[in-house]
Amino acid sequence: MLLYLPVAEWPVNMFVIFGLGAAVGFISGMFGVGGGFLLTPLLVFSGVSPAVAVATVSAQVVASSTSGALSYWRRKAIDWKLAAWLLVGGMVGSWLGVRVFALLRTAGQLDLVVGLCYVVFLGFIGGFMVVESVGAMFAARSDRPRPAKKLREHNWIHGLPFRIRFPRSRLVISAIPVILLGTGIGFLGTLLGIGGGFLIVPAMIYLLKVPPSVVVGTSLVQMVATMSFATFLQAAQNHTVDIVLALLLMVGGVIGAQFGVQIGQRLRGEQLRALLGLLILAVGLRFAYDLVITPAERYSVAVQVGGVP
Amino acid sequence: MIARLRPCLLGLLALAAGAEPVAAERLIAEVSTRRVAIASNFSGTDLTVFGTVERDASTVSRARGYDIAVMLIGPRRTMVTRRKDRVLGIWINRDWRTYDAPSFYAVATTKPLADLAAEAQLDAMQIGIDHLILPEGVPGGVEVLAGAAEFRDAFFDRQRRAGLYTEYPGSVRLLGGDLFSTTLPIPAEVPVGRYTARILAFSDGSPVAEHVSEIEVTKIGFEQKTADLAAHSGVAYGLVSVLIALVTGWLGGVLFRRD
Repeated sequence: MLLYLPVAEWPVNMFVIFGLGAAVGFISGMFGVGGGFLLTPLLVFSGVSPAVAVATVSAQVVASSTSGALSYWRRKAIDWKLAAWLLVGGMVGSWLGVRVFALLRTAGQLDLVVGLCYVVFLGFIGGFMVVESVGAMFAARSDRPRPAKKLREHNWIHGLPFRIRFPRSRLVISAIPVILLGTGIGFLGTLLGIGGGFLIVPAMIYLLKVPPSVVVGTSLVQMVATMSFATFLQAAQNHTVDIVLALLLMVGGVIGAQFGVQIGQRLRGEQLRALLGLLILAVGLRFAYDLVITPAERYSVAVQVGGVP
Repeated sequence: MIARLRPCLLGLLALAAGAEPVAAERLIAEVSTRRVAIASNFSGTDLTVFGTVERDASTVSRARGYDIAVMLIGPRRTMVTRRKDRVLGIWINRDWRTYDAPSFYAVATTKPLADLAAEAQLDAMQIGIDHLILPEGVPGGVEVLAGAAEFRDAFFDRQRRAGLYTEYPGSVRLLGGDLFSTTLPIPAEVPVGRYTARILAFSDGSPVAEHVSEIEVTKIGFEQKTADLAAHSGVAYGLVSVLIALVTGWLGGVLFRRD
């Protein structure tokens, strides 16, 4: 059944988009990630313009993170103070992201920069996850006890000034890295149409040394808030949020996630991380492939937006 | 002053009238709809154009009858055509041209364009995709009329393949007498805005009569309200979007509560 998207000005097959949302929801439920990094490219590959895809997925990320955040809230596994400080940076980053997004779109370089960012970040994170989880699998097989990681060991980041207490995380840390992390995630999330969970969770664990028990809940809260702000800015400034498309993706995603979670619970941690790492790596490689091979069509036509390119 | 100018003006008018061919034929045409409404189930539609060439007593008899060209022309937009070039192994958009061009162009004719009229005539009347006049913008901001053929060809090629520029030679049917009709498909991806249906009657390669109708392609109902809100009240639209996302997420969390 064809459905006409009012903002994208493009008819789409309702069930295809719904299925896309459900498939990505399944994967995000299985691995406990937002899935924006899959959804945005899939929408672009299926014909939605990158500008609309990126902005619309930010609304979808709000919905998918909200249900997760609520569940962590009930378990009281959220550091609200830390989330608030991350959000301060997130709003600045998001504002910057929308500005850069508009500039790149005018210059016709949005696809290129989005593609390059995907290659760099997905390739790096995916590769790291695969190596790390495969290593863990071998260690488990050889039955050697792994050296316990000293998670609470402090690093240079903890020596910075403007220290703040985060009682829930039992952490005293400088505001600078927290705000910078929020800014970076907000910027990339807005520019690339991703929640950035796969970036912020490792950063919170390895850089800020936040206890794992509150990391996921806190990152989800900051994602809901930052991406809400991003959605609002994209709608207000770039007029590229298609709410009909977003709603289809949200409903599909929420349902798909339920089944994904059930599968995810049956897999072991290392296997799950290795699979997710491979998936992330594959998306990154796909973008790299598109950038490097000779395109079938060297010319593209677009309605001009915002002045002289 | 005006009184003194009057004879002058009248003279000019007489001259202008004399210079024109005696337009004895009249083209009477009608389109099947003046408003193409895009609702949520819009998947393209057809526009039927029919009409006749009316003659009067002073009309010279046309041995070979008339040829008809029917054009549907969309609102003009500035469109950027970009070319990718390889830089450090990566394909990057480098050079570009902008075209001030109709966002949609379809032409149906009784016979192939080449047989309809001479090239110069087609150019002058902008009949056929290759005869459209597109002011071109080049990097540096200079606007030229005859630009790089490479970009122009690529632009036409992309528009043709997107189904936005089409030609239907031979699809105008003559129904006997001077009655004609044709059907132009309007694809689902049609840009919205004010369209012009331009109909021309030719005889022996020269245009003898013209008719122009305005057609509006517009979103209606929910689609229109949503698009209007998104385009003109971004702040309200943004707030509503965020609210919908939060409520959907919350509903999902409540409906599928697992703990």
